[in-house]
Amino acid sequence: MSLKDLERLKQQATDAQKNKTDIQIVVNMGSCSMAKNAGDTYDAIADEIKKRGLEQVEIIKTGCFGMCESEPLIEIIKKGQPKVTYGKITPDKARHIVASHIVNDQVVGELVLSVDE
Amino acid sequence: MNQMTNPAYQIDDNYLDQVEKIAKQHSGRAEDLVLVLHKVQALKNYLPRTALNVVAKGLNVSESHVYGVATYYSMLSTKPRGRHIIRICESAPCHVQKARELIDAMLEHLDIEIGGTTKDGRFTVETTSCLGLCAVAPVVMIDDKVYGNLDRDTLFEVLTKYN
Amino acid sequence: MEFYRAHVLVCGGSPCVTLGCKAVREEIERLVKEKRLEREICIIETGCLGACEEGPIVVVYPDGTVYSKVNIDAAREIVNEHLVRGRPVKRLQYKGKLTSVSRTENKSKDYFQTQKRVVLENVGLINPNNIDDYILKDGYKILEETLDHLSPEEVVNTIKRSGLRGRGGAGFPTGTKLGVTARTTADQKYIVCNADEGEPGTYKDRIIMEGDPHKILEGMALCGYAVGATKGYVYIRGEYYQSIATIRTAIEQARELGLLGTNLFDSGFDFDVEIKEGAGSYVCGEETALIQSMEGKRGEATQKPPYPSTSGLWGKPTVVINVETVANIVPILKHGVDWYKSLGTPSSSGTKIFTLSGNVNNRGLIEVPMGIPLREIIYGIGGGISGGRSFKMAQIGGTAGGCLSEAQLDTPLDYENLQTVGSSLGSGAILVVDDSHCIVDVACSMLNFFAHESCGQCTPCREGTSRLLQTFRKLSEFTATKEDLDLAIKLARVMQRTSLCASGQSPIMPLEGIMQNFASEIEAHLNQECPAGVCHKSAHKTLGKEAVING
Ligand SMILES: Cc1cc2nc3c(=O)[nH]c(=O)nc-3n(C[C@H](O)[C@H](O)[C@H](O)COP(=O)(O)O)c2cc1C
Ligand code: SF4
Ligand code: FES
Repeated sequence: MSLKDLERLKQQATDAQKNKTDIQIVVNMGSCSMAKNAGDTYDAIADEIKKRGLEQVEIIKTGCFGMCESEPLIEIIKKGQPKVTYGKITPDKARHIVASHIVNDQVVGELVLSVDE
Repeated sequence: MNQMTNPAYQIDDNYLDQVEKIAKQHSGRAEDLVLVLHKVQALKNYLPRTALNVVAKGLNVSESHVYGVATYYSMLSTKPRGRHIIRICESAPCHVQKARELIDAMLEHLDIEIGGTTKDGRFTVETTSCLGLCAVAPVVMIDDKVYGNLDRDTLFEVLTKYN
Repeated sequence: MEFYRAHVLVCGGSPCVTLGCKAVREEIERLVKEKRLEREICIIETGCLGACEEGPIVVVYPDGTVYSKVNIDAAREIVNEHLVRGRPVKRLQYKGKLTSVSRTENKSKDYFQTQKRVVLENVGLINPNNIDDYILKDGYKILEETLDHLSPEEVVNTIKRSGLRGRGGAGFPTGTKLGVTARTTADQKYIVCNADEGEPGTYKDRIIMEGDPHKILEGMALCGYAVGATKGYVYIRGEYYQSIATIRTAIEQARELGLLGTNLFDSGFDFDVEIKEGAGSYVCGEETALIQSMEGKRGEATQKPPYPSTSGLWGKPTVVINVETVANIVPILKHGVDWYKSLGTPSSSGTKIFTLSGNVNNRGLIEVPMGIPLREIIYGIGGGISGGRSFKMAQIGGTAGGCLSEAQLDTPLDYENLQTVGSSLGSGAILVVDDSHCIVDVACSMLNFFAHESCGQCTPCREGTSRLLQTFRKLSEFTATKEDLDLAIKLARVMQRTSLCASGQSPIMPLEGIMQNFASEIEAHLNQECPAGVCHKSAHKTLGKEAVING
């Protein structure tokens, strides 16, 4: 590994970022999230995405952001729109969010924690 | 099932062969002892005396040293345990979130004492210090999985997943 | 499921309430009703959207248009133009960016104004299992630059000048520690990252490991370069299955790319990292015990000196450094000493991660500059006491920390100020206890911890911790006398002087605070009364049973 290699890697990662799919669902999966069944939430989302054939949607796992009280926490990032964060998402609620927010562009207001860019 | 007739507790040659194989991978590396004990324990959920002797030979350390280490760490057990280990946190942050009521309810539900194993050999219950999940207290760890924000109903429901 | 044509989010954070967002929301609601659109348009009040000086903020979905400084007239225009005619009102659109710190249920302004994420900058935002995400955030660039431009001495000096102090509990200056190991000559030196995190109420190291593992590996490599060590270990407690898995993946990925291994960045510097798993022992977090455990022995503390910095793992000079401390190394080298010192207070520079637990509304973790008052954390970020109860006690720094009362809530959280109130910053754990709890009962829980975790090699600690627990159990069963208590405190003082490691030395820390700040409640127990109504005769069914049997 040299500096050049590192820079090339970063460039690749940057390009990959640009070419990312239009919709990303970020699921927090740290231990506290897992302790509150984030695993099931993730599975429900993955299942719903697959069932509906939503190929343009990418699911990303991250660590815990620190708002453990609101776990499981998921974020929906749609190109050109502010990021929406949902808190306390059970598998059922997750399916609802996929149907409503991802497919029909309907933010599920009562579950929203915050909106930011 | 009686502990002595439970196949999980039977020590046979096959088992000891497995232990020896694990120890061989770390032969002469005394510093790997804790790791070896973790691996051996994974076979039967506890560390039988005979297995400790095999480990001692494999790593070329004294039996008393192995025994001393095996009894020192709370995750290692030299007593037979159930198929699943329930670790329930009783440190202060969980305590002020009603951990004790949860512990009592569970002990009653499973009809055992702390450190005990259920009659069907399903669970052994141990208390533990903080598991670093205080933000979702009270917390229980079953084998390598963690469950938080529990009350008696949610805990009992979780228990049904294990057999 | 109901389908709405549009969703309107109106912020309702407390700063905006004063700016009139409530009136705006009500006006929008009124207009929507008037136009009979309530089945098509859903209006939602959200938490703060993080652009308060631009508030009130209104966001219209599905298109995600953000409007700022919305007054009543603007609200009407938005309804008439955007919601009815589907034409966004360009003139009112917000040009800036909504900040990313508003991700909280807590509708208080304090949350995003006080947080300063340095160590946690990537946590929760990147995929910890993909090294590309870290590289995208300029990961391993500082390592490259340092190997290229700076001498090891310069690295040590930079850390020294930054004023970084250990975040694992003791608060020892990290630069000094690195300096000692750097000056010691040996054929092999080691960097050991202490991830045994066992102090009750602490979970910061876990969140860093699970969220941004490469920051730890890069920091360790930098330390290795600074002191001349080529080998690093991360000692992770056995119960942290997920941390172990995440760090393992990170090491594999870094090795694969040649970011760990030999001849890093063609500089001739070698550095590799391995994982050591613990097996459940609090005392193993103590640095000498940690080293014993790594050598495959019982994790018992040993006499200091010699300190690990000169004679540690296998007798070689070893830097034992906490996860949070090591995660500070990259930011310091990246942004410079002046920047780092501008955070925090003159004697405690930088930020500190605090982990909130107990009876507060928002349990979780936060990173703030050193020196912010405790009250701000509990009532600001923490959202106050849960369940409508009131504050009783806060314990800072884990079970070995001091117990503060209401009167001490304005103490700034840094190394010096906490010492003046008989506490210490420790690991940064903040346990909040509400008034439904009895102080004696809480003390029993703390003392049970010490009794349970004593490694048993020195008599004052082994016997003392059990006796202390016994006395407080007696107190909670109303059978203790004043003499018993006095003796217990005296015993705790003896333990402080005669125990080998800090585990046996520290029970006096919480006890002193409890005896001072909650004297009347203790007194009541001597008179067979528990003001909180928790204690009664033979209350302790399970708690402490084991310890007393052992004792
Ligand atoms: C009983 C006891 C337990 C400790 N537990 C930990 C721990 O879990 N994690 C940690 O980083 N330091 C712990 N320490 C502190 C370590 O001994 C040591 O000071 C620290 O790892 C040094 O790193 P730092 O300078 O970066 O803080 C503990 C100390 C004692 C006495
Ligand atoms: S003070 Fe306690 S924990 Fe520390 S070495 Fe002595 S017995 Fe062990
Ligand atoms: S106190 Fe129970 S997990 Fe921390």
